[in-house]
Amino acid sequence: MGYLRRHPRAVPYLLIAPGLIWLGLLFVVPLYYLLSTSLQSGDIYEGFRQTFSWSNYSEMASQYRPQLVRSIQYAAIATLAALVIAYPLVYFIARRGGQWKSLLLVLLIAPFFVTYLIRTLAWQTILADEGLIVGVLRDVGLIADDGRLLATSFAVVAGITYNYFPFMALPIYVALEQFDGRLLEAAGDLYANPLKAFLRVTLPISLPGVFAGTLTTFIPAMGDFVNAQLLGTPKQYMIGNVIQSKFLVVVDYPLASAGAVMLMALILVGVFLYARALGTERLTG
Amino acid sequence: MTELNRRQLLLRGAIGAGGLASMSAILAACGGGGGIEGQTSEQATEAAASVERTLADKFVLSNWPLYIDIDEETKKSPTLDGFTAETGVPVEYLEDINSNEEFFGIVQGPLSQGQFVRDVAIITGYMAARMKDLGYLEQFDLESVSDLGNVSIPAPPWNEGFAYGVPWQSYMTGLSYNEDKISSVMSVEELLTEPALKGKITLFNSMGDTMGLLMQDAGYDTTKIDPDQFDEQLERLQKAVDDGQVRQFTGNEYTGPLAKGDLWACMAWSGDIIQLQADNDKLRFTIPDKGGQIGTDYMCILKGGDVYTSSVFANYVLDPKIAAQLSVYINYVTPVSAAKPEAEAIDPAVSENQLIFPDEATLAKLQEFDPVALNDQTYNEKFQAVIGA
Repeated sequence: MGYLRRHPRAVPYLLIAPGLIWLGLLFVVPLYYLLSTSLQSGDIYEGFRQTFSWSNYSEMASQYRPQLVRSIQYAAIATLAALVIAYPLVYFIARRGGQWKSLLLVLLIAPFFVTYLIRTLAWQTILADEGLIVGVLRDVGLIADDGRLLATSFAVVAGITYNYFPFMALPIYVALEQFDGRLLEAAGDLYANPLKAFLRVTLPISLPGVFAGTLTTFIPAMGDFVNAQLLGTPKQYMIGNVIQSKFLVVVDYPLASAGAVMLMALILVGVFLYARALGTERLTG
Repeated sequence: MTELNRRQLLLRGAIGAGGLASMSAILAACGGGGGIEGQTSEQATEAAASVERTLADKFVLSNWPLYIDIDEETKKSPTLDGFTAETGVPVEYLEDINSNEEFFGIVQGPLSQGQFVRDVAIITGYMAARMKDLGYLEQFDLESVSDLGNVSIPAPPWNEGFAYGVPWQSYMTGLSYNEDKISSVMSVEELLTEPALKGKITLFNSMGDTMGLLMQDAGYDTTKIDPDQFDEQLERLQKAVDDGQVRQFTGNEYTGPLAKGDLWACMAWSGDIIQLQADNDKLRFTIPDKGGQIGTDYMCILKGGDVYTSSVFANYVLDPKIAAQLSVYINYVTPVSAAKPEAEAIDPAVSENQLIFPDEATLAKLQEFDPVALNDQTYNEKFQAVIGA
């Protein structure tokens, strides 16, 4: 304690140290090896050596462009769908939930106590060719008699949307829950109709929640491969499937690492542009 | 290698808890085997010289889910309990292998650092061949595996005298179809081109199974892969994918859609279909006339595992009585044909089942896919590109 009293300036550094060590060991060091591996060449028998093979990146980018583009598309659609579904739902819970609020929240999260894999497999049953949903859609003529939902892009996007739904819903809920309802009354007093009050008051206040929600949904959705594997066909495979197969099946660690770095870089750039577009000071302030 | 290994140091934290078996051995209470009149080979004598024939005080075994006998009431494995009763060695049994590739990804780091991971893991032939080449496997003390004489399948070239892997079970890859949906599917050609099956079939995401059946259908030898024949059949596969004939490439997860009727036909593993038939008697399994694949899973001693205890265990499960007990429960093909009369005593229906005790005619149609090709990066890359990843 004496040391701290003599060196009060050390306190913040000491407080931040556990976090920094954690980040260093579990993020910076692995990231370094990931970057380093992504530039190596060789194979599992001869060993991988550092050769600064930048071609790993161009190979990944050219050979697997469809999967990369698909990942962006699927993640974007799923994020948008989750937003459209989540916003009214949590708005209702936060503003109109009353005494049922806690119960409704639990109901919202309850399915997610079940493991990810089981939840995804459940969609195989929900969308089965012989299942209820497809049967009804066939009867009303929305899909052809030999059509299907499972093993299509629709199934994959639906699976992703569902699996990352709470990551969208909860941040928005927190933002909506905290805001002071009297602001809406004030807006009304100033002759704003409900729509205007929503657009000028509620929406801007909930924007940080929407921002956080879209990020926590989009980022893992980009790297997802389970939904494409279980609910899609080879034509729905995403960049995550490619990385997984390069890493485990082909055992080409450099290419797999290059894919992972590319994915990370793409997401970083995307997030940066998104934050710029929305204006970070408005979001954090 | 070094760069990679250091990176994998970080992986190890997650799996380090796998259990460290103490290597301090206790006196052998009694031996399941230990006979000296068993198979001998150069490797065996070599290995035997360095083996200390005392049992370890624990035996760590990694296996696939549902790949051992389980007593419905006690929820314990009679085979493992029997081994402990006979030798006094408790077994730490881990059902933690879900795919060869994933398991390799997990143990490769520690093994390359010379760390103990498990005594024995049950892995498929091609992966065992890869791990042997990388120096990750110990040789069995073949003199302690006297019951190797009971093994009725031939030892593959990478595993002469079964020195590096003792067969656990074999499985056949063939075709399955749902009789409610289609009257029959007897060939790969039919599977890939029959218009009624468009979007209603799955193939395996494992190269050996899918390419094996395709190449056999074309009349090619799959025990030694010819690159031109491989490319030709890969093109045929690509066409089936482009045509929308193939719904998915799967691992085990084809069983759900097949049982539900979403799949009309598919490539299938014999043991899965036997289990599915219990609920859906319209499912059929067939080995095409042009041939099917056989794969064998081997018990392998991972580097640092206790050689003598592992060898005693391998010998124990090759006993026809134990082999019968296992096959009646697991429903895969036992490598011990002498287990058939024993299985008959337990469950006559099982011993009659061609999928568990195939006759000579069926066995003659089966080929094992070239393990060298299965471990070849180029073949794997090409195949993965066609299956979309």
